[in-house]
Amino acid sequence: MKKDIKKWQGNWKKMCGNNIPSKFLVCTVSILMFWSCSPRSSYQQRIDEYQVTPGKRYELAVAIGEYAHYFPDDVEILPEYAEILLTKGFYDECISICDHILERENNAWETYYTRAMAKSLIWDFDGSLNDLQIMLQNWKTTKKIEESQSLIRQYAEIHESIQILDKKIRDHPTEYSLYKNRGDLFLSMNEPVAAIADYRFCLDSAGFDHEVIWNKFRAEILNFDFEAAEQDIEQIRLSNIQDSMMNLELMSSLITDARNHSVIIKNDPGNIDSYLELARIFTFLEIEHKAIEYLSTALEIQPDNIQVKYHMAVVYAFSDKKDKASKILTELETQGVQVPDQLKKMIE
Amino acid sequence: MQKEKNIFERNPGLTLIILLLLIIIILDFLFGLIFVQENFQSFRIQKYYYHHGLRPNRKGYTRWSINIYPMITNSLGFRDETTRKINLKPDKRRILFLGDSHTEGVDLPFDKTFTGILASKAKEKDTEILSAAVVSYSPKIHYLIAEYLMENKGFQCDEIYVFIDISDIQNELVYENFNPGKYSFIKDWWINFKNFSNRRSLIISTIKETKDKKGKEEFFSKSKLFTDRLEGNQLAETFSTDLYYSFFTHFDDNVMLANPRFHGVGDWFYDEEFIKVAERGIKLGQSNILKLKQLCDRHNIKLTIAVHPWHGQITRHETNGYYVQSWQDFARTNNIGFINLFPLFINEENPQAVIKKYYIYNDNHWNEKGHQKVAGKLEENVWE
Repeated sequence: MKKDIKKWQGNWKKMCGNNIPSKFLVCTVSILMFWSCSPRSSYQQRIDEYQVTPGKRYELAVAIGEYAHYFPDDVEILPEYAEILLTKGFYDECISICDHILERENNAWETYYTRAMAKSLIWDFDGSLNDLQIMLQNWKTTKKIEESQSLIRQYAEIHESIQILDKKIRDHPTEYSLYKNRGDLFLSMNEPVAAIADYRFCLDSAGFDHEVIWNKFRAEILNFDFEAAEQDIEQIRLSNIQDSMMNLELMSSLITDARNHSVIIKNDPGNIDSYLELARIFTFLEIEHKAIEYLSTALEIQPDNIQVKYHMAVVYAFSDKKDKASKILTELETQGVQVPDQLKKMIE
Repeated sequence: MQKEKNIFERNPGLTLIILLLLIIIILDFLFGLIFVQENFQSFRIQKYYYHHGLRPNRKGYTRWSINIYPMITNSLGFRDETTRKINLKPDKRRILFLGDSHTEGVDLPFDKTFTGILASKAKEKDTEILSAAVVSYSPKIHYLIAEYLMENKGFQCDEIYVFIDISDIQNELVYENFNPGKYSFIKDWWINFKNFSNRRSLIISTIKETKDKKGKEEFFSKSKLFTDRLEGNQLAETFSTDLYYSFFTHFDDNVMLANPRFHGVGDWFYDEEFIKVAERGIKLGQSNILKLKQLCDRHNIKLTIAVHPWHGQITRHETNGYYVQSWQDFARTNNIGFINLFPLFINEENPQAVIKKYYIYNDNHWNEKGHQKVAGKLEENVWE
């Protein structure tokens, strides 16, 4: 046994010499070799691979779920994985990982933000606002947190209005305007599927209504259900109702453009022109929050793109967020961009 | 005098073979311990009398889709809060819940399921609540497990609640050819040994794995699942698909299997081609519930059935459609208690909002809030 140890020590000396840097190098290489073969790293590799492979959304979430199960104490990387689940639409799973992280480290402040966003998306507005409040009280006040808080408060108010309408519908189930109003609220809450359900019920029960069908059309586009949007156009065509809002050719072209540009983005997520085009479509459809979402993504790709910034200012101006619009326009003017007077007047 | 040879010396060849076999078996189980990995579904086992069930006294984890959650079973193989021995004869009022994946409470720990919520409240009410529900059970299996427990094991209870949903109409057709025959201790032992070998023997588990893989591939290509978009309820691309395959062991109607609409059971009632099949599924289910009722009467047990909706029924706003009406009439005629959970999920609220609030995303099963809602409603009935 002693002989073996001495032999091993001899080999170690031969390999590293007698200096510390070479010993350190050999140790690091060994640790890295061990690390690359460990299940932890194999999971991380799989997760990285699924993230960049189209159509692997579900496998990605499964691998993250397994990672959180097998390595629950890795609070270094789990917050990042929770964010991935949030962006991929796995809200409950995201909340469960955030709970897990916060049980172990209650000052992982950014995880509160991730959890707040996920909670708001499953309509747990109280829970979401509570998480943001914890961040503001114990961590720091940032514009991002305050803006999110204000948006979630807005959604919570809309949700309360929806609950009031639910009660009214219970008492007056044949008053179809209530369903239309509720559909509009869902649409403003970025919940097109629920909005479509109410509009459909309204149309089936009360017959053709140009406003309802136009809103349904907007919701179908927001839901990227272009076939259903085409059916709406067909329904309008069959109704023979002439309305200035119902420019059928324009509606058809919106469908074609939205379809084409969403395909382009799917294949080329860095295509700024398509983000701009989709933002234009949603601005036209008066779904400004979606337009802002596309423009924000475009700005993440090209933070200095003047065209995107200009469009962002226009959308803010249209959605009555004059402060934000004015700030962007001032910035653009300092860069030598000529802002049309009409737009300036809008935000005054 | 020459010493008389013993049996091994007289048969050296046979001795060698037996010895070798013994060594192989020992090594096989030893390697099995090391190399056969338990997976998240290995607590689900075959049952000769009631098709499939859960391994008793098992504490581990499982997965339905993405979340990995605890799965604990008691001595009877029922999902429970802890591994514990259940006395066959209760010392207080006992209620048994039977149902499928909804009642098993997939994707949630036991204490968050409606049976778990009721079980924890039952302690204050001097009542015991047990749940023998397992994924893909249907009236036929409910009857068989109840018969197995009561007639062969001597299990006793005061009330049984059976949870029924639209998936049962497909399951009833799938299990139509499954007939366990008379209870036999040997058959019971043999299937338990097979289950054990599948988990512990390296050779047997490898053979089973290969066979299952081939079977799954054949099944999925035959049924065209994941290749054709199903009209209506598309089977969610989850781990439950592996389970789905394992329930078709006694179903050999390849024409039906190859029809993608057969796998969208939620839409059968709205499909002219399938409405007759759906009606047959309901009839089979009702005949099995009738058998369960007769069994309950023999054992002086009160029987109640509960129906609950799937997404399709919620979006169609069907509170009292053919499906509900059929079970309600059946229950009334046969003096069976009836709970209609449809109005709990189909009411003045927006249907999509209900689905979002109370159901797992893209899945017909209840989430935590859904289970809380069901538990709240059942409390009106279960406490005396």
